[in-house]
Amino acid sequence: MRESEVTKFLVSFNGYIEYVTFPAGVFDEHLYIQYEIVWGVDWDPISGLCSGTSQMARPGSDPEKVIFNMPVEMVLGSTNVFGWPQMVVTVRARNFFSGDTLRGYALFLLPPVSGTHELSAPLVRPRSATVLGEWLAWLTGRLPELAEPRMLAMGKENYLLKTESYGHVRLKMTMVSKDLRKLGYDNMAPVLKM
Amino acid sequence: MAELHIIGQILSAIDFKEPNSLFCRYSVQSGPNWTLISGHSEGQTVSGKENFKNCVDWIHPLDLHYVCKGIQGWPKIILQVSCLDSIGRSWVVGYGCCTIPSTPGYHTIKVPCWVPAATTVTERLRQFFIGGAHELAQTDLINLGSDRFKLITQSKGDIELNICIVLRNFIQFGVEYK
Repeated sequence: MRESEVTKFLVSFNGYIEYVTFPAGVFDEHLYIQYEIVWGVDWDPISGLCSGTSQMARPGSDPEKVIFNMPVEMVLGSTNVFGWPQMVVTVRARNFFSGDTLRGYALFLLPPVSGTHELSAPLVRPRSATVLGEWLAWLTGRLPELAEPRMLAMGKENYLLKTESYGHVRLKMTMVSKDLRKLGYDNMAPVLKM
Repeated sequence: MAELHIIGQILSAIDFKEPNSLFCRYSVQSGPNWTLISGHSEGQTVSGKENFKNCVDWIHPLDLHYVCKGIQGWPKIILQVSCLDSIGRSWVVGYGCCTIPSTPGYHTIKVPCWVPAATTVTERLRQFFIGGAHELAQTDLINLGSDRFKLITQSKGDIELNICIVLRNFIQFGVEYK
């Protein structure tokens, strides 16, 4: 293929959602995560799964940490950097009494710089808008949830959603790009010459 | 024409020490040489409550695509933090501004914030018991250094941004950024 014919670049993301931490310990029987990759209009998925659900996991000797090591592999192609893929992670718990409840949402920007990155994102959960809702959430142990978690990645029309944050999700991601520099893009930080 | 992509997140507000939940309004301003092709140059985050580390996590995504004809007026991001109390009132608790970095790659930016202070004793008492704060009538003072002499301000916490810059065709037009 001649150089002038290159119009599209490919980006490959390979990584793992390693673990979830809660600083006061995990009091749920099982935790599981769901991930979803969200991208802009010019982007096309080439291969890989754009959403998935992990196993049911429980903490080990460290009571604050639940390890999933959930693999995420995705190749996307685009003509424009705008709408760079993001990942929405939903952490949920399954208990005998309260059933299936939300533990929080995390939003990652998949790395736009090639190489391996270790990313950490806070877990955010919506709060009830009314006092009655808050009281019901406390009584039933079920927190309010978002009907469409993808709205977090849009950044528009959140109508001043009330949130609180608790815990972190850890992601290790390797990014490899093809033809990105051939199209004139520069995403690499300058190397300091000592 | 050279293109600039600003991809990132407004991560959090640190050490504001407000009992109410906080949200942030942002706007990205640039000179006349710059045109925004896609993305939103203005927006508002969710309103988050401070956690036990005095940190409000917003994780608000940013994605902007600019085309530029000259390097004058490199984009700046202007931030305004407000609080929302339990009965739905809101007032400003911080102003901040920073320029968008010019080198490609990841940048973590901490923007220190300030707010116009209460000057009289009655004003201070009112702010302590009832709430509310002074607001700037001309918000262009946030990123201008000219008329600040008469302003009395109070220091507030930091806003943390995580921004990744992708440049296109800047070298081709002779712009040296690294």
